Amino acid sequence: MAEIEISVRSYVKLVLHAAKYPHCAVNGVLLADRKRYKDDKIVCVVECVPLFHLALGLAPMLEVALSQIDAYCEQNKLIIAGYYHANEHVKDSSPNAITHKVMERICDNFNDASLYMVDNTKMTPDMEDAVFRVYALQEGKFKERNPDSITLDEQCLSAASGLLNQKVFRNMVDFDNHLDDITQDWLNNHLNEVIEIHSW
Amino acid sequence: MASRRANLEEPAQLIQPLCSSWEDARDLLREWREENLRNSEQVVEVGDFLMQRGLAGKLGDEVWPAYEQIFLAALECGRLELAQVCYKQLRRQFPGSLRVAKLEAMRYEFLQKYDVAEQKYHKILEEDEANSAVHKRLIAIHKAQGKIPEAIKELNKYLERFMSDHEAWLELANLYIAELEYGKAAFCLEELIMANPQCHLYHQRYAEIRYTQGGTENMELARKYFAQAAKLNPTSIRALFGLFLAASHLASQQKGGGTKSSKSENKKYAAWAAKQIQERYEALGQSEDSQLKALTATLDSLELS
Repeated sequence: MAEIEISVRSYVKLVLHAAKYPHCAVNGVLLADRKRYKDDKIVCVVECVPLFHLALGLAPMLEVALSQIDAYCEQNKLIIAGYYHANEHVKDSSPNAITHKVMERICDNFNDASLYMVDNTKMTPDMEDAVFRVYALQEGKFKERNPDSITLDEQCLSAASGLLNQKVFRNMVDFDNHLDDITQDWLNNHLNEVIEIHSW
Repeated sequence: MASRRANLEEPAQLIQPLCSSWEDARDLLREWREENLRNSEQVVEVGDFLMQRGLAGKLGDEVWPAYEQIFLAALECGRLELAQVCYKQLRRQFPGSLRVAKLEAMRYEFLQKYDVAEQKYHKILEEDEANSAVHKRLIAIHKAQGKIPEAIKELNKYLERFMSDHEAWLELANLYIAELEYGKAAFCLEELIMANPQCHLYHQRYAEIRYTQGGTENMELARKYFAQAAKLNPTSIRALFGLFLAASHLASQQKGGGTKSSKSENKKYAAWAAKQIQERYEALGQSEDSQLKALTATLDSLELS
C-alpha cells in the first residue's frame, strides 16, 4: 500500500466542510496527483471536493458529482484517491453501509483508495491531532492503515485551526450547495488563496 | 490561539460580522425562524451581539421567540451560560409554561442526563398528553443515544397518531435511508406526496430513492417523478440531472420498441434534460470554466451512442 501525503488545502477544506454542518453527516472526496502516484507510488492528496450534507445514502446526485469530478480529474491529471465521511452522531466514528457503498465505487477506479473517517471528537478549534483515521478496503472489510504511512503537511493543523476560528467555513461550498445554486463553485477556488495565506 | 504573525499586518477580516445594529439582529433572527434554519453558530453570534450590548429589549414582543431561538442555538454550541440567561428571562415571563419546561428538559439532554430529561418530558405529557413536540423529544433521545431501531419504532408509533407531521415523515425517511431500507423510505415519501402533491422536493426525493433501489420498474418511477419535479419547479437542477440519468439508464437497458416507454423515447427525454442543463450552465457566462468542461464531459460520458 502506498504512502499518503496530505496537503494543507485538502485537509483544511475537509475540516471546514465538517465544521459548516456540525449537525449533519457529511462526505466528500480527496484528489491525488496522478503522476506522483505513477512515478513514486505515493498518494499525494492535493485537493478536496466536499460532496453532501443531505441524504448521503442516495445514488443519483452522487453519480452526477463523481462524473463531474472524474472529468475534472481527467483534465487536471488527478485521480479520486480517497473518500471522507463524518457521521451525524458525535460519538460515532465507525464506517457504515454508506461508506462501504461509496468506497467500493471509488476502489473500482483506483484500488489504492482510502477511507478517511472523521473522529468528530477531534473537531476542535485547537486542532491538536488529525481529525480522521484512515482505512483501506480489503476483501470487503475496512482495515485501519498504519498511521506512520500518512503524513500531514506540517501546516495542516495550524491552518485548519486558524481558519476555523475565523469562521471561514461559512464560505465553504459543497456539491449540495452547488446543486441548489449552480453559481456556487464546488471547487471552492475562492478559498484557495485564503488557505494559501494561512499555510506558509 | 496566539497570534502567529504579530509583526505583519493582519489581512482584512475574512468573514464579516452578521449584524451591526439591533434591527439587523432582529431581522436575521426573524428570517431564520421563519425558514426554520438550523444555523446555531450564526444565531449564537447574533445572540451575543444583542446580549453584550443590552439590546434584547429593543425587540419588543419578538424578544420571547428570540430568547427561545438563542437558547436552543446556545445549547447546540455548548454555550451554557448564554442558554441560562435566555432561560431565566423566559421562566420569569412565562412561569408554569410547558413550552419553557420543555426547554429546561432539553438542557438536561445537552448535559446527556437523558433519564432526567425523560422524566421531565413525561411530567409535561401528564399535563398535556397531545404535546407533539415533547413526543418528538423522547424520540430524539433515542437518536442521541445511537438507538436507531428504537427511534424508528417510536417514530412509526408517533406518526400513526400525528400523521400530518411532515417533518416527522421526512425524519423517518432519512432514518430509513441511513439504514439502506429504501422501500420503507419510499413509503414515507409517498405519504408526503399524497399530502402535498405540489411540492417538487418530495417528488424529487422520492425519485432519488427509487433510482437508488434500481431495477427497471423503479427506474421508470424515478424518471416519472423526476419529470414531475422538473415540471413543478423548472429551475431544479437536481430534477433535470435525475431525469437525464434515469432516462439514460432506461434507454441503455431497453431494446428498441419496448412496452412502457421505448428506448427512443427515453433517449429523447435524456437529450432534452441534457440540453436544459447545458443551457443553465452556459448562461453562467463562464465558457472556459473547468466546471463547464467537466459537466459537458459528464453528459457525454453518461449518454449513450
